[in-house]
Amino acid sequence: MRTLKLKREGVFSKLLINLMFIVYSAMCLIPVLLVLSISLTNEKSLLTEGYHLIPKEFSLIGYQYAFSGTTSILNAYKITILVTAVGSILHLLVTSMMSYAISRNEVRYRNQVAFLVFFTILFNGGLAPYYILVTKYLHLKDSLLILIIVLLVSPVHVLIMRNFFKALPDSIIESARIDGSGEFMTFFRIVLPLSTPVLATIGLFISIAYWNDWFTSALFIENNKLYTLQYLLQSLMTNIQYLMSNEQASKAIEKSIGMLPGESARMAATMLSIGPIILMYPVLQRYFVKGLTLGAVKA
Amino acid sequence: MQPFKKRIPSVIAGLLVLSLTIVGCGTSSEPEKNPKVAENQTTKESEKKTEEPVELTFYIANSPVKDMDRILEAANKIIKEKINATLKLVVTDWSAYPQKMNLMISSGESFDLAFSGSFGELNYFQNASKGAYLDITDLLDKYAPVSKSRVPESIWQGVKVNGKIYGSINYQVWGMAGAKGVQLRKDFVDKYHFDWKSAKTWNDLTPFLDAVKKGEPGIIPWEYSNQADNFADMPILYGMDSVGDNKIPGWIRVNDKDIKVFNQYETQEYKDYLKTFRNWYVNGYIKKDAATMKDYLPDRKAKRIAALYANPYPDLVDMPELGVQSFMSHAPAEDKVYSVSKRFTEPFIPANSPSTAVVVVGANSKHPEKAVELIELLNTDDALFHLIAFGEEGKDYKKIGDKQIEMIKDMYNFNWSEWEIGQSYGRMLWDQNANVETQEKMLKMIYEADKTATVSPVMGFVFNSETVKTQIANVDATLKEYLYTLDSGSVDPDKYYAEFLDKLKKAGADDIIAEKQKQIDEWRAANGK
Repeated sequence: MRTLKLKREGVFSKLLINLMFIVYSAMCLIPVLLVLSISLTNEKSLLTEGYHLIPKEFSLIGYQYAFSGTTSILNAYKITILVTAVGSILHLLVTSMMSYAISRNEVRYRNQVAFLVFFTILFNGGLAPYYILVTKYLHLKDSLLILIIVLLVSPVHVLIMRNFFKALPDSIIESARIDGSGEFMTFFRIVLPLSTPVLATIGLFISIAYWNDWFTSALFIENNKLYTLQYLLQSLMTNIQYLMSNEQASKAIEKSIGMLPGESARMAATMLSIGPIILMYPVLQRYFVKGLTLGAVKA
Repeated sequence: MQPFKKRIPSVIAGLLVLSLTIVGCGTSSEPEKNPKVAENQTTKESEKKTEEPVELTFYIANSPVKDMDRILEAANKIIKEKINATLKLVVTDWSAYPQKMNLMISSGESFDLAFSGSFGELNYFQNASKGAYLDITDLLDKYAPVSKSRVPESIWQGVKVNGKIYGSINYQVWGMAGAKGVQLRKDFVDKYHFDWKSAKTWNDLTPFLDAVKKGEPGIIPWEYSNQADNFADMPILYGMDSVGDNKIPGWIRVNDKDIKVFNQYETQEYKDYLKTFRNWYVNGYIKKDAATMKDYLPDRKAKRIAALYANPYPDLVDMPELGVQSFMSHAPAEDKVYSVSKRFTEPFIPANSPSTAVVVVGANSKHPEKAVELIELLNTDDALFHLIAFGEEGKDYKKIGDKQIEMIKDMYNFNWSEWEIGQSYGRMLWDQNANVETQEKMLKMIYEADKTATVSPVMGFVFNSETVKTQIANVDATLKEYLYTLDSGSVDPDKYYAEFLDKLKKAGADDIIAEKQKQIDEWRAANGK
């Protein structure tokens, strides 16, 4: 009798939990499916019949526009993939080396260095000084490099990694040292292989950050061959708002608005921009959960 | 422990070397990618001897343009030959452009030419008075006489700051003078025998909207959109003009010789407006969500709009032959949704109209003379202007007539942004759908109106809002809260109008008006008006 009751309760709560997650998943999925459907629908049918989860009038015109139109989306793909790949690897290298150094007790000024790094979480110079630094002193305007450098170190990631490294047993590192391993050897052959969870986690964070970064392009990139995907997408979405809110300034603006791509083209660009990055999740997921807790709990 | 400590310097050194190489990559590749800096220096030294062409940067806002490089190369051939310079046209997104220019200005970065204006945070007047742009009053006379003389003198007053010209006016094909009125769908007008020719006020439209509401299910009789508020954004409809930003309290009456500033929301005109629009809303002529609707394109593209505000000058009473080519705004071209247009006002030149589109020279430009020469060249050399505006003949467009072209799909396309780079006055090419003869006749009327139209009494006055910044921010918040719901008729004015006025007063509307009045009085005394 008791076991049966327990079982029933179990079924009920399981049902509730599952139902909750089904609803939640649907809430996440439906908008994406809707965007997909809009991107595959004929523009005219969108306007007259509204949005539907299954396209009423199937059409690939949105994608055609995205690939052949004025936006040169393929080139932007190349740039974004390059920046994301190179940027994420460099970010992991620089961040892990820095966090390792400030996690070791042997490093004398580690706390001072750590303070300098974390100080920037709370305080920064603001937009104008940042712009002046990059354009006037580093001369990195309009170069591919700025797209990579801008996210090379993130203080939060240094914090997470340092805590992870601190949790590694000292004895492993000491025994490596006794066996005659140099600092770099220890770091690359022993510490890093032990740290795959945190590397995967930070890797995922940073590759998404690189992938989604449009603001750097907006500020510093003038050469249209260096535009990133998200910047193009951003411009597709916001140009229309800007021009519409200023339409009465000039008759000329009304004509410019007419040149902007329609709804389905914009949604096609959106679909294309989430494409590759969404594959990162399943690949990195198994490290992801573990990495997150490891970084945080043992702070 | 000891051996490790010894290694610290080498680790730090290693990191430093790494960071150096990263920075190094940037600086070493710089000269190749951006020869501008080096070139500029050498040209200055050897300008007289070798006459190296100088590179001029020109910043404009536009959506991405395909094949820009090919067109610029062709354009540079012309520019090099004529004024021994080359043009580097930098295209930035509309949405990012104002912020980018403001950043460049505040960081003192040099640019030769840029598009600016008095709308959408482009801040022409603020930047000019900050010293971001070069005073080109004399340079224009010397290097750009045609650009200068094409625009009537009274209109140049509208871009002056402290008596100096900081921007070359992009005198557009549409002219300066405008009239406000409406655009109505022709099929409905005919069907319900609406006497559109005698419509002169909002109230005159009511029978038409009513007939559409009753007879055409699925059609929205009147488009209200908060992007173009039917009261706050259209002062001239009520015989008024704004001082500074449209929506901020403090308008003047066009025919008022003494130029008295008042709160437009306290006028009888506004009360009448509210009554009309509340009535329209209650009767279902206006969409239920009009107050919050930002994107009006879908409705227009779907041909759901029966009537909307427009800037028709000339309208179909002035020029009936325009009827064959007037269509509802943004309706699909292939569906040929004809419209009739009727203006409610006489042509008028508002104070902010001349500064809608100007080309400015950067204060830090190294070649201001050449920059102004380029302004003149863009404004006078039709081949060059058409090249940038439409592309290469045969490749990007086909010529059908002397002034008529057909664009070729998926080729170079400047997104109709030619008005940012120069004066399109009398120099436009028309697309295959236009009737060139009618078009020319229309332009003649427009240009005639520019010379005869009433000019705003505050033309040439620039309001400096610095001292009432807080009040403006507060008033702005109040406006966001009340204006669109009231003006779209969504709420009952009997209940909320008094509350709105009260809040405006508390937010400091009177201070703003007093400040405007004070500055205008000073300006009148100084200019003898």
